[in-house]
Amino acid sequence: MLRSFQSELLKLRRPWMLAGVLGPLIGFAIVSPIIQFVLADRAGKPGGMGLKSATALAASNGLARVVTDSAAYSGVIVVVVFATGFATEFGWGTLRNLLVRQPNRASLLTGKFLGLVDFLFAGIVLATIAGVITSIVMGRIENIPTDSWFTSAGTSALVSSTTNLMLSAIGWASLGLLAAILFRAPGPAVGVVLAFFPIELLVNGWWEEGTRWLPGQIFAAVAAGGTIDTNFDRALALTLGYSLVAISIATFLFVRNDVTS
Amino acid sequence: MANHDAQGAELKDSSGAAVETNGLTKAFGKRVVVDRLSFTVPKACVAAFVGPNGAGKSTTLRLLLGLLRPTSGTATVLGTSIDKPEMYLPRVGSLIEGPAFYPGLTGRGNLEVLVALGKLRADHIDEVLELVGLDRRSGDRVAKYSMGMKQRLGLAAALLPEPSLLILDEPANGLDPTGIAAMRTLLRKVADLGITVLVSSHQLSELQQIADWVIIINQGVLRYQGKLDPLLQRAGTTYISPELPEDAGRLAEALKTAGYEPVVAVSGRIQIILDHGTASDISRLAGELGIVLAELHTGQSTLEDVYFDMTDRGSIA
Repeated sequence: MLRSFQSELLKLRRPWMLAGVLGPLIGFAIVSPIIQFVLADRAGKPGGMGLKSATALAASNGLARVVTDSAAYSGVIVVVVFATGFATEFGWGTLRNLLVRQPNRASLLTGKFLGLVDFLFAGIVLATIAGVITSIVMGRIENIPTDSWFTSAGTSALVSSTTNLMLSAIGWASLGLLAAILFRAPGPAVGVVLAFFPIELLVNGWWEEGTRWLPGQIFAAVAAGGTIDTNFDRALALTLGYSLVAISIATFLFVRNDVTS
Repeated sequence: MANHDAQGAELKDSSGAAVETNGLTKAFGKRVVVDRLSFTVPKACVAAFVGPNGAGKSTTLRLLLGLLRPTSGTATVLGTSIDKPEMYLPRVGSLIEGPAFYPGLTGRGNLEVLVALGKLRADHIDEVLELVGLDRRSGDRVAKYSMGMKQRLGLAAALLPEPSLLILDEPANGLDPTGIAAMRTLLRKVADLGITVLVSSHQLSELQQIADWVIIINQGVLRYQGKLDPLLQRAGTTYISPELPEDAGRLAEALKTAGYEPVVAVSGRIQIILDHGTASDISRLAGELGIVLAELHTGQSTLEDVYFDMTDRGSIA
């Protein structure tokens, strides 16, 4: 498994992978604070839904909340990256090369998954750093005090929200992996994971308990550190449960199925 | 197939089998792609694996590499059952259905991924790149490689584990004549080093120059396996031209009665595959009919002749 993990990290040096994963993550991490700070005066007014006031931004957890906002997009990025990353191995035929060098399929899949998760975590950390730098700059430009961000409560909130983003990403990553193994081609795999978002919203609107059970809602609750409907511990337990089920199904299919591509 | 197996007995017995299949079958749904295939590849030889498109060659090679699981039957690779590919694959190099690499990585980068995964010797990368003539372009991204360069990189990847067995599926695809000649030399060279090469290709004239052993399949069924030389000698084509073209029909009938399968051309020239008897038998038969022969010529078949005969008209066994 360690060898699969190492080889996956070597593979991730590909320029498109760096640009395709880190680019959007860092991009959203930069854009989100800019929007929040520039439009802070519209918070609480019509059309200002989701925006935070200058007072909220200046609070000790203000930075953490801005960073968490970009998580709304990171779920989409993560699930697409995992669906594409694994499905293209089928499409390109590279999977057969890998399986000849590492015939233990469960080990190969686990190593590759952990390698991509590791890469993703590094991306989240870099995106957080980019978000922090942007927020500091925007705080100065918009004359919003940022001193309380660097108190122990502020830094603790930032670390906590970044960790939550990572935990939430595991859930999205597992769904992306499952889609890739089920469909074995990037087009259908990505199509299905993208369709998942509006479908879940529709189901959530129809099913009262949806926010407490639907995977996307639960992963979002973990990223947010818990919601009114689902506290953090429950959301985390469900996220890990969903991830375990998705990874188990993906591994079972990957080990059992013929590799015909 | 018993006669053919006997012909190859010497080669088999002297060095053992690198690959052995027994009733190997693979079906996708109701479609049987490999049908009770039993063949042997002796060690340290170049074995040509030939058959038309869709004959089941790639599927068979995938079964040997553990990428597919057989529907029934068994096989061993380097003495180990294909149920345990992790036991023998570290000693097997392969190139299946064209080279497959990460286009965004360099040629060297792609090999580094495989070295890390297979826990192979990293310093071997330079050797194999030089061997296939890619050492100067190894820093370029694979996306910029021509088909021939990708094919050579595929061969380099196959050689990375310092294999005892090379399984190559159409390795000459996309290569120019110089590349094909180089590939031929390379395969012969690795076989002379004691590495078994099982190679499928449609470049039959190339295979004929390097193969010691040949396996011919059609529609998933074995048509022939054995040494190449006896096959070509045995299946020589004989050309017969009676002095009077109008005698061609009568002579062809007599040949048919004698158990041959004559093909009469419009010119009156008769062509038969001489899989039994000799030219003198045919001369005697013509003499008995009072037919004077203007031409009686037996030439050695090529692998291509044998291939077409076995895949178009069924086995000559």
